[in-house]
Amino acid sequence: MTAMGEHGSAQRSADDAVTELYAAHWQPLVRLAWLLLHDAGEAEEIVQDAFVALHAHWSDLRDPVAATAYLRKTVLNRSRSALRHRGVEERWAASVRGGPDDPGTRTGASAEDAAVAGLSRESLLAALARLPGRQREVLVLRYYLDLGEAQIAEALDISPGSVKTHASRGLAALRLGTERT
Amino acid sequence: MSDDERTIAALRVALDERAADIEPGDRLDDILERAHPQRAARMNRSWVLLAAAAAVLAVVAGVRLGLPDGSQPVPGGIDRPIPSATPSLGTTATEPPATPSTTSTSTPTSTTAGALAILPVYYAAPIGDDARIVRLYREWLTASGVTPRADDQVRARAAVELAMTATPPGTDGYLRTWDGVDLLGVSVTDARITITLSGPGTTAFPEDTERVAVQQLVWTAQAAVGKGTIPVRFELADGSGAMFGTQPVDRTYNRPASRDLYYQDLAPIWVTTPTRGQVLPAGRSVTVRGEACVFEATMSWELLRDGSVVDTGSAMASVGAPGRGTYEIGLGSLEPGSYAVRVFELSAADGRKVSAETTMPFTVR
Repeated sequence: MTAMGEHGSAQRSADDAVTELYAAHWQPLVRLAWLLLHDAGEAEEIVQDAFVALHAHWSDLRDPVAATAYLRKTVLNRSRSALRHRGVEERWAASVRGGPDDPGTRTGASAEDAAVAGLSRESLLAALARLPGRQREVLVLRYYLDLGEAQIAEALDISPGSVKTHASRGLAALRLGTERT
Repeated sequence: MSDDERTIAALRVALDERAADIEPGDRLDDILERAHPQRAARMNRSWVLLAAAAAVLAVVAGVRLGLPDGSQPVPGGIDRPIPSATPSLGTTATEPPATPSTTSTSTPTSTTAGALAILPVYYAAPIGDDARIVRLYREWLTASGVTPRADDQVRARAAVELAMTATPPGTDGYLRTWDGVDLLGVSVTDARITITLSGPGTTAFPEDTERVAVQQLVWTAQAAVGKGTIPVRFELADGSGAMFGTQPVDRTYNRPASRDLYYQDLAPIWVTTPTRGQVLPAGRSVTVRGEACVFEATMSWELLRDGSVVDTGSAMASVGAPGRGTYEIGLGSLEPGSYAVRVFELSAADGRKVSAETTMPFTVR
């Protein structure tokens, strides 16, 4: 199952590449999109579109590292426009407020709740939902995907300096946000 | 610890836990179909699955596609779902990989290749030598007629039905705690999943097993819906007040609130790759991946070929209990044959009893 089969077909090569990248990135990217959108169906759609787009561009990329960066960027861009289009930010916040993480609907106490008072999962996620989009993206890429500054800068098309600024402002706002709640 | 460090640590946990609740369905076929629709009709599911199996290997064998920064995969790992009974090469008509013997969803139908959703389904079994300790394992199954485009309710109902009635091929030891109980319905909203059962079930199990049996349906329904930890409520059509007589229906049920508490429900050792019965290509390195919640993060493993031990070793999880970490075991390149990898934890008390284990059969050819 080499990248170029006996037929040497570019189509087949793109299939193989997409299949391999799918195995590695489908779940993490859907989870990333979900963290930004809070809508499982929309998250899957966006990542699926990104893979279809990757297939079309495979002949330009031809490199798993470049392809991964392409996928990530596409998912981020499409998540951002989905947010813009549908006012999802409010639903994001609402889903934390009225959703399963709301203390009112929870059935068990979280260990972290006791351990780090004021930094419970739901208050943090709610505070994250209130941040400006860029700050939220930087924090999710940094602390969920564990990307470095340079990679975040590339994924978001901003300078490394801006990444730093967004990260520190976002963290400061989270701290204040969770103190307030 | 500074304020920022505390915030960062808590944020990491919150994001990881939230993300881990999302178990996306399989869409590889859809992607390839949309990439070149003219070939869709001839796209053979078995080819795709084998390609994907090879792809998983290529990834875990150290190529590490797309993790150039050396970051860890998300909790749960790259457990791309591949059905347990992989169709052999050359077949043109594919069957649903797992057909439960007793459910209405079991009749193999002439569905178009690749049209079935692959559903995460949880099963309860003893975790080690002490048969009283029962926890959950996860399998990936299909139900005929349930496609990736099926709505949440259909997916959840099919998955819960499989959880209650199916015995995945190649497994034994999964408990049939729900025998004699029929699934009457599953309804799903953003705020609640309601599972309606015909009655309370038998009272033949220890109470903790009954608790785990209820959690089995909770995890399965939430995973099939894929929208996080939506609280689950049960209704019993015969008017009984408690499942098994011990698990009341006047409350909601949910997964434990944090990953560090998952040990309450999940078996301490899972193998997520390869998946059950997966066929791997000869000539490539085989890497076993999984999740583990074990003392001092330490496990042992053995590789069996046709039932005989051919290799042994030990492995470390990324974190120790009560945390649920991930692990990898490199088996190197294997000759064609029938294999099983057994991953186990020896009791910290006497070093002989097996306190937790799992075995995953796979084939190399």
